[in-house]
Amino acid sequence: MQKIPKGVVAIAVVIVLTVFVYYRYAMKLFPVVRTEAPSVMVQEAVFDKPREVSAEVGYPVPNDGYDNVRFTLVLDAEGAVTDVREVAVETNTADEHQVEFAQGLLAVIKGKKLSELEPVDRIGKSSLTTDAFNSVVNELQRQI
Amino acid sequence: MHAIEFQGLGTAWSIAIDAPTVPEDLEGKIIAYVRDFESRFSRFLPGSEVNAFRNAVAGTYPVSSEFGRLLRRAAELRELTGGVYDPIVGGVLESAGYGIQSGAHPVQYGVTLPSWSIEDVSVTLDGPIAFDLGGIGKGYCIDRIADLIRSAGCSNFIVDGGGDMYGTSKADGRPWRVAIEYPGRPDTAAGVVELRQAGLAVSDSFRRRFGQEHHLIDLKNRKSVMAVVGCAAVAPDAWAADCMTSGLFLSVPERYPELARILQAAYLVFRADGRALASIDWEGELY
Repeated sequence: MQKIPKGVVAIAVVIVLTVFVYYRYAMKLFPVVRTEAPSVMVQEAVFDKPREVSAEVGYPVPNDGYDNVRFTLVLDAEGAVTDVREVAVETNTADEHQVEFAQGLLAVIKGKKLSELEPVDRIGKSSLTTDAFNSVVNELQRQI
Repeated sequence: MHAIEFQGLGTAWSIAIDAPTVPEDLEGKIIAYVRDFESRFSRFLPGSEVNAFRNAVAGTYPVSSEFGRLLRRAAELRELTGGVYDPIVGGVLESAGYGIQSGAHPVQYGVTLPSWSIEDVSVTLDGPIAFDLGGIGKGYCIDRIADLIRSAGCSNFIVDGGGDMYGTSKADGRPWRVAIEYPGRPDTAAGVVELRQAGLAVSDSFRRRFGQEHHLIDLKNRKSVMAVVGCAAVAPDAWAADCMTSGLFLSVPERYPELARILQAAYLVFRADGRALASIDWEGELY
């Protein structure tokens, strides 16, 4: 499968990040206002501290493939970009110490063959949600 | 047991209603809702509501009540993930020339990354925006179908939308027993959960599916890090479970507890080393 060259994608990121700095000085971010309230008030977003902005996008590649990549810009308190990362969706990082610290149990999961289980009603599994919408276009094109 | 099966949102739906009879028009109503949802919220359809602002100038615009609801949840998830989840992301690479679908000319983000906010059914944006509800849309759709079934007078059912689902219980009161597929291993279960008035979402990565690898670049730390290969969440409804898995993928672990608290979700995070992190309130067998 042909991939879109990384260099070209990296240039796109550079364009985005270098003008994002301009964006930070020229535009004010709108506050986030919650109107649905399950149980807890969420504070208004105030982006004056270091944070990360991430864009996760899927895009088609030749031969009906699909590529997925995530760009993360690391911003300091003034909104200047201090780092950029390109991360594949499945390699979202989880620092080992942080994961073990989170309240929960860290278990080795080997898995069991479905055929070895007591009968189940359903199987919960991933579906390609983005591809789901993609395929609607295919259906429409077939109808034309 | 009454089965309703159809293709929708690009996947195979399977609904089971545990009742002796089911209203004849229910299947038609459900399918009509899904078709309507597709036409309104697919980012690949030029006339969809999510694409209504591809050429917009800065301003405040009314949106439909459903789109408003979806955007308000998206805004909440953006907050909970520290801004990492944002439904505008589809346009970032599109502006750079990738991911353009037939029939829709590319949104131009220009020199600034757009920002947006939602209040009730008014969206305020500072320039053209293409929204992408992938990651939170399907769960919402599952829950609306559950509402349709309930208003038809059926209370024992399970709605399976290609692996994400919502189940009430069976007619005899027992929960629905659902295996959780080990991400990336189609014939293997990582565990089993019992769904009783609960939603389930399971997520893995596209890249493994297509057999491509992508190098992890962590410029800041320059160290080998543990990869997350998939996750699962159980929550009071399918929408919350769907949002939870998206949040888990796009958050650092420090944010997991707050996400879980707001969405009322129990979760599993699968790591590349074969171990999984299960939240304290995770119920069910793990293998």
